[in-house]
Amino acid sequence: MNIRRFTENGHVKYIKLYNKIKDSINEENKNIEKGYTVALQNEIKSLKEDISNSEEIFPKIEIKNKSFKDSYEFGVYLNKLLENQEYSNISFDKKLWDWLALFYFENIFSSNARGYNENRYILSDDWFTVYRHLVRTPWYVVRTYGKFGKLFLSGPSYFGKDWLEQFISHRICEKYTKSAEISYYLYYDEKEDKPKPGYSKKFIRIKNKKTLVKASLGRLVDKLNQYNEIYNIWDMDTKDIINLLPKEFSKLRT
Amino acid sequence: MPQTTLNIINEIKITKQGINPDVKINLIEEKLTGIKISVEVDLKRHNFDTDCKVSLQSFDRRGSGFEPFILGSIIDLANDKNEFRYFIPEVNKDEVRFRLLVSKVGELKKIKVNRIIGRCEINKFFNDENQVDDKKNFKTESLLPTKEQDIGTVFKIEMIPDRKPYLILKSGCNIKYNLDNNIDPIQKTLIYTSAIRELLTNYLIDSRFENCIYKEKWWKLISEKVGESIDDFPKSFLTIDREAVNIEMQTVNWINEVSEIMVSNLLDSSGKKLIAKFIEKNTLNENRYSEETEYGV
Repeated sequence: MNIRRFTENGHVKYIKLYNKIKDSINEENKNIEKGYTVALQNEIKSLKEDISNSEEIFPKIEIKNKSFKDSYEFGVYLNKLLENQEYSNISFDKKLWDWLALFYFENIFSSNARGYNENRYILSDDWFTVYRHLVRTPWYVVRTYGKFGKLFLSGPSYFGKDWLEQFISHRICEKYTKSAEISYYLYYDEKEDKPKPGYSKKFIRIKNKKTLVKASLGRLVDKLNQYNEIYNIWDMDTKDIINLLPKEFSKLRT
Repeated sequence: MPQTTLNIINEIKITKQGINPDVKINLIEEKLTGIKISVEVDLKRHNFDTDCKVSLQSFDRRGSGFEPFILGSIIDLANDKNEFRYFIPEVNKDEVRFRLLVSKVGELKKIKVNRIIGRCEINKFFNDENQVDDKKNFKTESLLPTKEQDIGTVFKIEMIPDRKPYLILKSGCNIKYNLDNNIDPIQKTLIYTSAIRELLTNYLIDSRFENCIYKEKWWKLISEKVGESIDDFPKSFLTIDREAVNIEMQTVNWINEVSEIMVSNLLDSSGKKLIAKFIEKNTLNENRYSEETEYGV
């Protein structure tokens, strides 16, 4: 099959159908397995099969329905598919991203997921929630940060990633791509092939008290913001920036 | 955690306005995909070391910085006139801002650093800045500027902490033109009433706006218009009572009152209130309908 994008009508149908799924899950006490009934699964299948709801994009690109080890692998695959597309043309094309969400619905929607918010499946206009889309985000992260995006895309494709959520909302991280490289070197365990646990959140609650997590990603962002005022960090080597970090980061530096 | 930054090196302030400023940035062209700018730099008077690097960074509407353009080292910029042209994607002329940096490579605890030794923050194009000076007494800042985008609804509010809120209007249907030129008071009243309600509600619900500079500006403006001290403004839209979340009715009433004062009493250039124009326009439509009905009979 070739990549398609929704027509106006098809997009409305998809949004309505997703909201129906969401309502059904809510009615079942937020139980995804019970709420995503066989009837709704069939509706998803019919919407996918009805090509009158979408149109092919040009140039034609063949897409395969397959599963991925994690969101990073998914992002790499999407980047290969869309490499000849102009970034500005597709970056916020809701009809394209939401069609891809429907195409990969079995991959990104699962009863094992911890959430089912519509922003995961319907591309949001809001800067705060646009990165929750489970198809566009893997594409965007791999395109922007390359292999360092692994830190933010570890875990199955249906998972909303905390590392990503904590990272992407900061202005310093968005275009200063070295911030992802620094984060990867500090927090990604290459031997285990997964992020080091316990550092994604800046604050945690200990005995009902908000407690700062030393050397956490949030602390790194604080330091990068501070360095950005003193140094031209864009022109500095990532290793030098890592070495500048205070003692609390010592055990992560190795 | 409190942070203290020790200022060891005095940064040199690079000028952007007045006669012979150090840097001038002008807009050459605005396209749908971005803007084209020209940059003129003359830093000779500052006697920076010749190996210092000069770079220009631009920021998008969310305040996120693009990778800087390297203008060259000080020795490369030794001419009387150094002009550069760049294209900056994904920004428009009203939202972009710039940062010109002069930096020098050095060492700190045996770590190679590139310290900023000169800086200039630029929020306006050189031409615009001079025009503003000419009209200083007449220039007012809009706290809810409009812009067009291809959105699914007729309008929406775009709000980001520490950035100016925007009233986004659907492109291709003339709404922005009608609103900006006071053409249709009915459309304007309906859109602004709803937009201001949403804006105030968001400021009162979302904790990310707690210290937002534009929330402060809005609160100051409202205080002036309604004659109420900011200290007396409601602090939140929702209250949490054990597990129940309740809407604070006093806050809802306050939002309604403020929207009324801010929108209905909005004056146009002839001094007419928006609500009066709304009534006038609706009465005119009613009369026309009656006449036509009468004629048809």
